[in-house]
This record gives sequence, structure tokens and C-alpha cells, in this order.
Amino acid sequence: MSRAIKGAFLLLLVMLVGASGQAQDRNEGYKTVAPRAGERCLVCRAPLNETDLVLLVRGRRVPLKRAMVDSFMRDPDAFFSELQPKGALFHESPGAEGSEVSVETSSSWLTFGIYAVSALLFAGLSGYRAVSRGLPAVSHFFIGLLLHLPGYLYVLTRPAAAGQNRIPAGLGKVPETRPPVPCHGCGSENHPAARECSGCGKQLEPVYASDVSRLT
Amino acid sequence: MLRAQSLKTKIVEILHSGSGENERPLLRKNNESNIPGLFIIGDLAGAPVIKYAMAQGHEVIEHISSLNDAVVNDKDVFDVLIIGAGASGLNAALQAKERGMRYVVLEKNQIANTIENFPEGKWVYAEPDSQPPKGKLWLDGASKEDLIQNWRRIIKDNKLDVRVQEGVEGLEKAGGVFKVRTAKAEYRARRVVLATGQRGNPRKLGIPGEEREQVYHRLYSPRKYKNENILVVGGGNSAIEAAVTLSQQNKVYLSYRKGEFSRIFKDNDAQLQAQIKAGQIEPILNSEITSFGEKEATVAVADGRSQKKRKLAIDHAFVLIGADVPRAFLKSLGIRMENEWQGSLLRSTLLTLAGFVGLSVFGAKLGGSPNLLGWDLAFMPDWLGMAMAIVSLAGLVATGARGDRFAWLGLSFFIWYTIYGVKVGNGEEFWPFTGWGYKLLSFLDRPWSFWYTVIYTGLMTGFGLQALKRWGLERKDRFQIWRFVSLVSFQWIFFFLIPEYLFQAAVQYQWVGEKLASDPTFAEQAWRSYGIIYAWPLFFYTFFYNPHQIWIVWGLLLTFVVIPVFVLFNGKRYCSWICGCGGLAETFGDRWRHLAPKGKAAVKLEWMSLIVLIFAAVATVLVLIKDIYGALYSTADLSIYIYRICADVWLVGILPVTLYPFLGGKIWCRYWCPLAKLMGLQSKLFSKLKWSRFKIVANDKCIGCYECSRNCQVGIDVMSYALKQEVLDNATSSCIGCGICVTACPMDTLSFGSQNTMQ
Ligand SMILES: Cc1cc2nc3c(=O)[nH]c(=O)nc-3n(C[C@H](O)[C@H](O)[C@H](O)COP(=O)(O)OP(=O)(O)OC[C@H]3O[C@@H](n4cnc5c(N)ncnc54)[C@H](O)[C@@H]3O)c2cc1C
Ligand code: SF4
Ligand code: SF4
Ligand SMILES: [Zn+2]
Ligand SMILES: [Zn+2]
Repeated sequence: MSRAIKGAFLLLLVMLVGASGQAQDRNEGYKTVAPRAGERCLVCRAPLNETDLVLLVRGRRVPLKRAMVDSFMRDPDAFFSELQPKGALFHESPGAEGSEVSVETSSSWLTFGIYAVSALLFAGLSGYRAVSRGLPAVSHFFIGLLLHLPGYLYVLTRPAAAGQNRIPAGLGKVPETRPPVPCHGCGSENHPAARECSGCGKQLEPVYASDVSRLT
Repeated sequence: MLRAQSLKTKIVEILHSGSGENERPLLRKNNESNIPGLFIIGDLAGAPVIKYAMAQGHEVIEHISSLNDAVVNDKDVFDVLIIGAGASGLNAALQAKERGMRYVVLEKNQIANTIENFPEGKWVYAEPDSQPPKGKLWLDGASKEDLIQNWRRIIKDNKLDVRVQEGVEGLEKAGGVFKVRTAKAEYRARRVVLATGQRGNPRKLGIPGEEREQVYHRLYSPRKYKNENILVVGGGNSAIEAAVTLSQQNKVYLSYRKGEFSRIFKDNDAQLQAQIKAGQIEPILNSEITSFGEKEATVAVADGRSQKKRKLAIDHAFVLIGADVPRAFLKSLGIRMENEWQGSLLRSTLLTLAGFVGLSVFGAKLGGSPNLLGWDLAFMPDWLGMAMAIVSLAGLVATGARGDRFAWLGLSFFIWYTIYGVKVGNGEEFWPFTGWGYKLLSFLDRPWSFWYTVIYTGLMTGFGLQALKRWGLERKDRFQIWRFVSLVSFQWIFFFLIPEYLFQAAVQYQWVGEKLASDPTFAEQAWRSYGIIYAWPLFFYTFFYNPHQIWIVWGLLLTFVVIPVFVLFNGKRYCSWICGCGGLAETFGDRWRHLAPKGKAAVKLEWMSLIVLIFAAVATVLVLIKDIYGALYSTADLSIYIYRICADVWLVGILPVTLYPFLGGKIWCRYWCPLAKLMGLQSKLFSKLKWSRFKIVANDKCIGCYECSRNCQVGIDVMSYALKQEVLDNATSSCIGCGICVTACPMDTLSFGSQNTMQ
């Protein structure tokens, strides 16, 4: 089955490399708005007054003294970088060239992503179902992963496996074994959760709650 | 030189802290050790219960018999020699016979010695029920005596060649043949299966007089002793059981080096307390035996900072301080352990550094300025730089392949430092990538940060499927199936599709309404959608750089309402079901989860994240008020800068991910993440107030196999709770509710939620 994982991985890689939407340059004309009290110039840190201006760059306010607008425009990315989140976890994407991806040109990525998420979901459902019904879990999981809804529908139609591998509804795992308890009357061995003897029908004092009852 | 040596010792101590006493031999595919042809199975290979040990015995022979030269007609050389006649060894022998191999089993003591040593009448469980036993050896829930009787019958019926009282003392491999030495003979075999378990190697105190006749390391027939003064040393279950049994007819001193008995069964604890009350047992805590004499033992008892010596008059002493992995025995056979730090720290540091210097020189070609700590390297040709980098990396790989673990550490650092150091931003890359790294790694017109997300999501998906298979599908655990589906889906949806695509689509097609879509403050800041899931303080940017009100409202709601409510019901499950950092650890880091630092010292260090939390809080306040108090402007900027570099690059990225293969995946989450700390504090409060719905409980079936503790990625000693059937919640631990301990326990001991016994 590790081959299946490798296969899925390879598929992912191929799709990642194959699907490459084109980035577009965005235009440079920034909107200007009026300064607010307390704002300081991004270039020289001096407080703004009414004659200065604030540019709206990628949704953020860039306060500038009039005299500093040129400095800013010479290398906006360098100054603007201060207003961007940076770290290992998150970033402004695609931040580097100040470009913005348009949705149409990147539909292959989006489609693949949605495909992957739904594959996972149906795989999870299929695996869950298989485990519940005592069927081989790994193969059924991958049927759901590769075939999505049809795969899951197929898994739904599988009959449950016979025998003790089934998990009663609502239980997380198969029930546990405990040492049997001998009946005081006839000596036959009973499940420790039993309320009456399987041999003579005598009333027993259950030692444990059964696994099924611990759910409720 | 001495300083350097002790520094290295310190570093190794930290790197090794995940394994401690419970280190296992290094195993490759099919349980093969570092010595080709030598296989290790059963308890020694980590199989915690009989059923798993049996399965390994069966499978290893199936594997060997599938090899070309599995069966060779050679009278002098066995096809396979099995050491140890426990569950795994016997099942392997049965299968070898079935496959027509020439085999022999060598046993040091008696057949199934470990189980013979169980207390009289002990019920042997046949867990886990979800798997049928494999192979021809019989297994079902039974008393110890019945089980062994059955096994003896099977051995007889199958005429198994088991040679008892023949412990293996040494082993060499020459010319593809193993020579195996016992006290009686020498055997030759083409393959060896080591199935000696871990119980046959009682730990020693290593003090003068320990070899005296009246000092035992095992408890034989306790009823033989009457009206004696007896010293029992140890604080585990076997020591307590011995003390309790012996105290019925004798006066017992119980010396233990710790201040409390923390890893004992609930029943044992009750009996111990009763015997202490009755005056039959005198516990001597925080004590260490320093020597044994003719009729006495000297014990040093800690008394505050100082020690007091005390002499005990005794007739017999039992030192029952557990068993060691037979490390010395394994070493003598040439077997390597899984977390063995050998090799040269200095060499791997230099090689790694040389690799970076090489890249720095090479970078000149792409617009960088080559230097080392400001020293100009422009005189070197760029091809030389490239050659240097390649040679250094090849050197790391080559020394790593020969067993130098530091080399792998260096390589891991090289990779992740590059990935994160470049990701800091175009023009802001760390040395040696400054000025060229970002552009170089921005393939196909996409920025590096985009590819980083692709790699991250890819790793999580690929390894997530593997982890899902390991914990969910193979162990038939539905909780784990959903957990991994959830982790991987959250990554895809909230940390890839939304910030990269769906947000733009929502704006472009006005799914968010015309007003929002046309407001640049909202529409042009797709990155803020990370804040849908990432809460303050992990993502304090939600409140920075003039966010749209919608983000402020959501950010406040998320941190102060949604998360606390979630914590109330689920503890810190955010870390194990949702978060991307935790997600990478649970998926990509899963194979190394057993290396998480363990022990009291490791737990104590968890205070570090409080510092990060406080720093994040201070930085947030500074940034929010800097427009009002202009004087704070530069302080605020500085604090954000420091936080960015220290926390958001080094602590969350470079350091922890570099350490994945060595300390497990949760170094950031456990030691540094401010959000985890915030949730931890909330959960602790809720637990103390008894509001919390989150806990793990244990029934009475724990056999002390350590599987739960070994696999806990946040280094919680789950076993010590399970043995005593104590509730594990966030009042006393930083459990993130991943449920791996519940899943890993072969005895079905643990469960979330309500106590399941009725007593
Ligand atoms: C207190 C306790 C309770 C347990 N309860 C249960 C339970 O209820 N159910 C369950 O499934 N599991 C239980 N276990 C775990 C179970 O005992 C082990 O999983 C199992 O015995 C492992 O089998 P093995 O073949 O790997 O090793 P072992 O059974 O330990 O066998 C190893 C054999 O190798 C021999 N040997 C050692 N060194 C040498 C040498 N140098 N040369 C030759 N021979 C050597 C030993 O004498 C021994 O016979 C319990 C364990 C303990 C300690
Ligand atoms: S104690 Fe168990 S549930 Fe909690 S973090 Fe550790 S393994 Fe996960
Ligand atoms: S609770 Fe832990 S130590 Fe106890 S049997 Fe389960 S896994 Fe083993
Ligand atoms: Zn200015
Ligand atoms: Zn009866």
C-alpha cells in the first residue's frame, strides 16, 4: 500500500508542476486619501499634517509627507515591506513582484485543490465505513480517494464482514476482552459485564460496565 | 577543548532526551537491524504485547522465506537461528518449520521465561481484539498457567527444536555466515532472529556489596522468608508487589530514590498504604542505597539540601528497579540503537557552514554580494562557490550514510534554513541568500512564498495519508481517520485555497457583496484570510496595518469567544485537528513522534512559550497605540521586527522543522507557540474549575508497556496516569487531545471521556 501513497504523491507532484497559471502585473496608480490624526510618514517617520497624503497600496494606508512621495515611488516595495506580515506560517501572496493573480488564469490550481479536498473527504468516509463494517480499511480508503463519490457509493454497497471484527454502532473500537467471571451457582464462565449466568440463568453482579453502555 | 567537549555532551543530552531509558534498536524494513541478516522481533523491537510479538515472529519468517537463499541444504549452517523462546521466537520457529527451513531456537532459561515469571494465576490478555492472532502459536485470554501449558503442548506436537538453558553470549558475522556462541556450543547460521525480550536484564545499582549472596535482583518464592528484616529497593510495580507480599511475614524497608510512587497500579498503591499503616512496611523516600555489608545496608536519605546516612540491619535485600534494554548485550553484538548520537559535531558544523559560504560566493552571479560575516569573498569565482556547496552537501550525505547523526542534523538545518531564510522576503533574505535567493526560488513566475505553501501542503498531504494509514486504517481507529482528514483538509482549504484563490474569487465575483468587494481595504488584502483560522497571538497581524473592520470583529471573536468555547469542550484539540503548524508535525513529523523530549525536565521547559505570549501581547499593544503615542513609534516597530525574526522565522520555522527528525515535530507547538500557551492556560483553568469536558481516563488493564508515553508527541508520561488510573487533563498536562495514546495502547486501557469501570 505504500506504493499507493507514492503514487498519490507522484500524481500530486505532476499536477503541481504541470499547472502553472500566469501571474499578471498590477498597475501602479495608487489611490490617495486624507491623513488621520497621529499617522506618521512611512519613509521619514515625521507626523503628517493636512497637506500631506496617504496612498492606498494593496489595501493598506501608506502615510507620506509630500516631500517623501518621490522617495517612496522610487522603491515602493522596500518601504511597503514594513506593512506586510512575514514569517514562516503566512505571507502576502504573491507578494514578491507586487503582482496579483487573476482567478481565471489559475483555475487549474483551484480545480486540483477542490479535487484533492473532496478526494480526502470521500476517502475518509469510505475508510470510516470500512472500519465500521469489518472490511479491509486501507483498500477501501483508497477506493474513496481515487474514485470520490462513486467510490464511496461502491463502498456503501459492500456487505459487512462476518464475525467479531465489526464494531457495534457508536463504539470507537472493537469491544475489549476481560477475564471471564465464574458463576457461583454452576461455575460456568460469564462475561464480566453479564447480568445473568449463561449456564443457569442466576442473577449476577456485573463487575464492569459493558463497552456499549459506557457510550451513553 | 574541555569546554567544547562538555558543550557537545550538553547538546547530545538534549538531542537524546526523547529516548532516555526506552531506546530501541535501529530497525530497517522487515525488522532488519543495521547488521544485514540479523533481525530483531518482539518486545525488543517494540511489540508491547504477546499478539504483536507473535505477529512479528510470523512476519519475519515469511519475509526471510521469500528471499532467494532462504532454504539451502547445508548440514553445518542453519537457515535461521532464533534466539529466545518467548512468544515471538516460538511463533517464528513454528513458521520456519512450516516453510521447511533448517532452524534452531536457543533459550537462556526456560520456555517462555518472561511469562513464567508473571505472578501466579495472572490473567493474560489477548489484546488487541481487533486483530486475530497470526501463526500457529495459540493465544487467547487465559491464565498464565493455561497459556504455558498450551504452548508446551504445541512445542511437543510440532517437535520444535528448542534448546533451553543455552543463553547466547556472542555473535560474529564472517563471509555471510553468523557464528553464534553459547556457553555449550557454537552454531553457524545464515540468518539470525533476535527475540530476547527486554525483561531478562535486571537493572543494577552499581554499588559496593551488591554482588553479595543475600542481595537479589529478582523475587523468587517470597513465602519462604519469615520474621526477617528485608530491604526492598525500587518504586515500580514489581518492587511494590514484592514489598507487600514479603511484609505479610516480615518487616520490610522500602527504599525509593524519588519522593513519591508515581508509576504504580492503583491496587498496589492501596495495598502498600495498608501495609504502611499496619507498620509492616517502612517507606524510605528520597533515598539511595550506598553500600551493602554483611548484615546491613547503608542508605543516604535526602534531607532538604543535605544528606543523612542511615544504617539498616537486614537479612535479605531485593533490588527491583526494573529492567534495562540489554544495551550492553546489543552493543557487543554490534547492533546500533535508533537515536544514537555518534559522529562529529564539529565536522558537520563546518561542512554545513562551508555549504553556505559556497552559496554566498555563487550568489555573486545572481546579484548577491559574497561575504562571510562581512568579510568580502568577491575574489572567489562563482563556479568555485557552487563546487564548494556541492562538495559540502555530498560530504554531509556521505558521513550521514556512515552513521554520523550530526551530519543529518546539519543537512536538515541546511535545507530548512534555506527554505525559511529565503522566505523572509525579496531583498530581505538571510545570509547567504541576501539579494538573490527569493528571485531564484520563484519558479515559473510564482513567488517563493507560493511554492513554499505548495511544498507545505504537499508534504502534509503525502505524509498525512501515510499517518492516516498507520493510525487510522491499520489500527481500525475511526477517530484517527477523521483527525487526519481534518488536518489535511484544513490545510488545503484555509491555508492554501482560500488565501491563494478563493478570496480573490470571492472578491471578483462579489460573493462577499458589492460593498466589500469594491473596498480596497478588504479586497486587496487576501492574506488576511489566514486570520479566519489563525487566532491572535499566533497571527496578530489581523489587527495591524489598518485592517477592515470585519477582520477586527472576527479576530476578537475568534480569540476571545470561539477559541475559549472550543477549549472548554475539546481542550487543546485546535493543535491536533486544525492548526497548520501542528498539522505538519502530525503528518510529516509522525515518523519521529517517539523522539519527543520526555521527563520532568523536558516538561518544565514548557514555560518558554509564556515568554513568547507575553512578548506578543506587548508588541500588539505597542503597535495598536503607536499612532496615539508617537514616542512609541520606533519601539513598536522594533518589537515587531524582533518578533518577526525570532518567533515567526526562527522559532516557528527554521529551528523546529530542522529538529523534526531528532526531537519529534512538536518543538514549536509545545515550547514556543503563544496560542498553544493561551489555550493551555484556559484549559488548565477550566479543568481546575471542573468545567472542562476534556479528559483521558484509564481502566485497570494497563501492563506498563510504555507505548502510550513513547508515542505522545508532547512528551506526556501517559503511562504513569494509566497505571494509577488517574484522570489526565490539562490541569496537570499539556495534552493536545490527539488521541494517539488511546489508539496506540494495545490493551484498550485509555479512552476519552467518562470512566468506564463501575467499581
Ligand atoms: C507484568 C507484565 C504483564 C504483561 N501482561 C500481558 C498481557 O496480559 N497480555 C499480553 O499480551 N502481554 C502482556 N505483557 C507483555 C508480554 O509479556 C510481552 O509482550 C511478550 O512476552 C513479548 O514476547 P517476546 O517473545 O518478545 O519476549 P519474551 O517473552 O520476553 O521472551 C524472551 C525470551 O528470550 C530469552 N532470552 C533472553 N536473553 C537471551 C539470550 N541471551 N539467549 C537466549 N535466550 C535469551 C528469555 O529467557 C525469554 O524466554 C506483560 C508484560 C509484563 C511485564
Ligand atoms: S497524552 Fe495522548 S492525547 Fe494527549 S497529547 Fe499525548 S498522545 Fe495525544
Ligand atoms: S496505558 Fe500505556 S503503558 Fe498501559 S498498556 Fe496502554 S499503552 Fe501500555
Ligand atoms: Zn517622510
Ligand atoms: Zn450459573
